[in-house]
Amino acid sequence: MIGSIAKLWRGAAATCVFELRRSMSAQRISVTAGLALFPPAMLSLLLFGAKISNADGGAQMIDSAQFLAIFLIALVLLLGLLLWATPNVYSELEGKSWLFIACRPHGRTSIFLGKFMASVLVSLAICFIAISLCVLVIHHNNETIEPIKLWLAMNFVYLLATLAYAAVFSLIGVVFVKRAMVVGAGFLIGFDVFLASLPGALINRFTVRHHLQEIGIATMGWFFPTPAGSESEYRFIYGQVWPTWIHVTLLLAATIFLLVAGVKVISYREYATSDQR
Amino acid sequence: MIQLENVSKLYKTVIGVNEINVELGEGIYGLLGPNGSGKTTLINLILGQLKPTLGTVRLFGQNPWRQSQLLRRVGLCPSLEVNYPLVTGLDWVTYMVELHGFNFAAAKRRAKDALAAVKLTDAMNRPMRNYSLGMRQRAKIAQAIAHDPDLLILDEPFSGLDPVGRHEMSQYLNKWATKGKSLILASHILHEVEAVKPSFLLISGGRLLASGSPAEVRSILTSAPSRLVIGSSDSKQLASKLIADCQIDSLEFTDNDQLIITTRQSRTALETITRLAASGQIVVSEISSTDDSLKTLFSTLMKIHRGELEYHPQASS
Repeated sequence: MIGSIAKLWRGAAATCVFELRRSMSAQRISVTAGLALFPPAMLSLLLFGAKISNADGGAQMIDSAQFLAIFLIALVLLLGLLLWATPNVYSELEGKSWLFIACRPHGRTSIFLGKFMASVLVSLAICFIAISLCVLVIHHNNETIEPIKLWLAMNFVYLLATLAYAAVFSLIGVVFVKRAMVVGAGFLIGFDVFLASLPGALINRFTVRHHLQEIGIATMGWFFPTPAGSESEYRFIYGQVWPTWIHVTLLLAATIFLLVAGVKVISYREYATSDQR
Repeated sequence: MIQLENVSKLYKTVIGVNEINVELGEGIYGLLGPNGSGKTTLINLILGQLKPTLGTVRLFGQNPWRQSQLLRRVGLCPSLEVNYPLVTGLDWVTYMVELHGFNFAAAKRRAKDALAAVKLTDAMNRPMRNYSLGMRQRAKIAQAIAHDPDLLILDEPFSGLDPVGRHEMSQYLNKWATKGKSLILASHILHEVEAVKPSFLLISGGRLLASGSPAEVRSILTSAPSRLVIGSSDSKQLASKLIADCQIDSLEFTDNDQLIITTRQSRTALETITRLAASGQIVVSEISSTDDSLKTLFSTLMKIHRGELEYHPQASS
């Protein structure tokens, strides 16, 4: 048992390292750097525009800088994960390397877990750079915030977000294969955004976003740029508070569940290579 | 080593392989068939990558579907082109060996040994985008043999190789065969497979049409009718002489004074043509055969399979 787990871990780690190494092309590095720098650049531009504007909207935007940063980083995180995690099987089938990997005792599980690890590492790197620069930009425009506290809280929330969404997209990648990216985007818009926004519905508790939102509120108050009256309205819509540890545990449990489900699917599913389809 | 009982595989409404029954002990096998005949599907079934729609598959006595540990004993070199432009040959083969459960150091050592065995040591630290087709083919062989499998399966290993590369590949496979390990060599080119002296499995249209030694396959091939195109100064006289000397299945005169014959006694026909030309009775300007040996073989086998042709090994001349 321990031997099997060690071999599985070795295969997944080898796949992760190989994936990162084969991605060291100028194109991939540029895309990754672009994703990391987009949120702070966009935030700087918006806040610069707000600062030179005398309108009320400008002052409101500076108050909402934290929310803007969270939104922009979430955008690039999800885009990065869609690009990295979703085509886990499809890229191998299209690249015609699937058979080389699948005909190894640990090939299928290694490719699933290894690509999950690689997508998490790359996304965390993107988030880390984006969060660090965004916190600097926010602090520069609004000195009332505590930058270290905000930086730690954001990194914690995005760590959980990266693990959970990478697991969701990895599972979508092994189930839907050919249209995995479309299904992944559809899942985000249709399920995770729409259902999580349904007022008072039990189903929003099954979305990743709901739990992240609750952790974000507990650690950063992220949906309350103008505190007066906001929290009572929010609770009226989204229900009562659960302790933060429950949300964290649920997200980690969901991540593990999704990974186990993905391993089962990839291990026992037929994948026809392009010359057979 | 491998047993297939009534194995059929359907891709929705398309038949991949159809009612295959075969039992293969340890040894060297050539899996011959035209492109699209079902060779790759058969290999995928043997390796548990596809689940048979009907029938049972056994590899080393076990069902390979859901038994990925069996793959530790198998090395596969697919026909697909490997496409990792930024990765070195050594890194790729090392990674492939790691997926067999070896740690990095052991995998790297085995990868180096395998790359040396296929004469790729000098290029192993170069990115694979700089590899020629032959070098990539050798790297593919290296990843298949690096973990020291009991059974090596090669799908179209000669594809894209130049004559020197083909010769080296044949030499390597002959060396592998002498180690007492098993080999399945899938190809659509008869003489390349013949070089490793295997037992043949002939597959076409998803069906296993025949199996046997090289001599038996040759016997089928020589019993098949050959099509000869002859250009001469007097096609009618040539035709009458050929009809007198050998059994002609069909005969056709073309507009440009060519004679096209189909015969199972091509050797006798060629002797007659040579004799007539040497005696000066006719002037021969052209003799050509439109037959490709494997195409003819499978066409013959399909005719035998459909009952359109009887198998007469003694009819060859």
